[in-house]
Amino acid sequence: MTQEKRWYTGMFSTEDWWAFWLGLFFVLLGIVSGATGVDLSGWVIDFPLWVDISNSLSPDHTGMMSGISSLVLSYVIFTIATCVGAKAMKMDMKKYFWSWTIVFWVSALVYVLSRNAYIQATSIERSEFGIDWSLSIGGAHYIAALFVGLLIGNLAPKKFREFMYHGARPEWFIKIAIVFLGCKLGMKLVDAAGYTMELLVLGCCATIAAYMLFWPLVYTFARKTFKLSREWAATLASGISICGVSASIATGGAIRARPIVPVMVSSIIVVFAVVELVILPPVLTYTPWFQEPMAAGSSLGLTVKTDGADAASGAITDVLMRTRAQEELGVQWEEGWITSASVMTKIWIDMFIGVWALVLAMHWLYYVEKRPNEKVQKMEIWWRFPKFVLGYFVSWALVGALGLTLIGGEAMDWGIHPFESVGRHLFFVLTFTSIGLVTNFRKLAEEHMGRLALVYGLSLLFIIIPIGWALAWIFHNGLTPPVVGA
Amino acid sequence: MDQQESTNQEEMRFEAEPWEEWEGKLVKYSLLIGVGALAVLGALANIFILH
Repeated sequence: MTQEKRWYTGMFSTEDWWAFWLGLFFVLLGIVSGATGVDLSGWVIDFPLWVDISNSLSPDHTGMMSGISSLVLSYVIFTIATCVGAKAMKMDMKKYFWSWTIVFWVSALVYVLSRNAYIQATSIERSEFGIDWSLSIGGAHYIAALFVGLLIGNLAPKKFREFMYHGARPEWFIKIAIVFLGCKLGMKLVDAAGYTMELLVLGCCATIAAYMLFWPLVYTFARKTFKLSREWAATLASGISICGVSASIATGGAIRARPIVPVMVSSIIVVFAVVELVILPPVLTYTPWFQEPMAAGSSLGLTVKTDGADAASGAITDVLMRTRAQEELGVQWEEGWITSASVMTKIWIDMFIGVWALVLAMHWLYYVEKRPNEKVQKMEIWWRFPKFVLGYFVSWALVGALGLTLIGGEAMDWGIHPFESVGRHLFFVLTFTSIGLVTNFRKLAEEHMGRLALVYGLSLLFIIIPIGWALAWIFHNGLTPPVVGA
Repeated sequence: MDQQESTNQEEMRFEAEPWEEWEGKLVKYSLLIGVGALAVLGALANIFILH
């Protein structure tokens, strides 16, 4: 670990930092709006439920402008913002701009069409839209975006698929959305609502236990049962136990694995995460897990191994469970808590990546490379620390502190709502479309990936999911989201 | 099979090193901390937060 790095290395050149910068830029825009009363945030496009398609678009601050104007303005502003980041990250700007444009407009079209009231309205909402029936598929826009992305990503000509990789950035988009999510928890603090701090502590506890159980079990399974070498077993164990792509890359770096190792492990992780994203939310909603919604949310943070798929599956589960609660129990749970439970657990998991990478780096230096005199720099923890997590906590702290003091809750909510709510949902949809676009099921079919996929699949089925579900229940049993208006 | 695929196959078939004592210690102590954390933090969480 003797690279010439400073604490600010990568601050303007990595995707993680650019999630921090962009997320916080918009959060600050919302805070300034709340503080001054000047509407700098209300332009963000919302996609309300509709029967008449002319009502399918609206700015978050209704009446500020027409729906179409809001959609175009949102496209322009988010394009400028993400292009600034793309330029700093030295992407091919022409390819980024055009592929991002396709991602945005495909996502917007899918979002509009799937928000039809006949698809998404709950039984309680039908009378509001003058309809007699609806499918009540809450979250259909996420599933539709994923499905359309998968269609394009697996069936389009190869050149087009590869072109789309430039603008389909699921990890980046979801990290920005997670920074926005930090505002929501900040507002919860302002409202003194629910159990924000308890969720923080419980997520941390679950993560500590999970880390220390998942990693050694998967490592031993990979080494002893499947006879994988140390670098494959360690990288795979980190990828499946900790946090997917980030952890496998961090581990690969920590143990100086050959580049192909984290790359192949990352491919497997992404494919399996998509499968989990499709299967787990309905499994959790339509089984006895429905009685434990917050534990269900937390279980996703422990079992779905990419930030994007975890937040996405949390969002789907949130909508599915709230819809079912409204339909069957007549209870309206507050939106976002189940998502927060899944994200909170993942946040802690992400934070500890740096610590675990340091532990592995030390072991590899001392025992594998046999360089006991070489010191592993403690700065590795900071360098590995996911910066979007920093953004999440900063937005939480800013919104909470200023909302409780200088700005006031109502003004803060007015200013920040466009990003905390509709902006976050938009970036979730962009994430889902992008996940679909970059997920290549062909990779699993390649013969030399079969063994790795088998180890991964069996570890997920028999180690991660059972233990993850148990831990989620132990640390979150009995919790339900607050009820609206209670 | 092209050269890249051939290299990949060789890397996948790379023979596993023998299990060493430090690996056993890393696994053992991680599991001990995990079980300990589960017992202690689980009890505390259920007593002071969940109920």
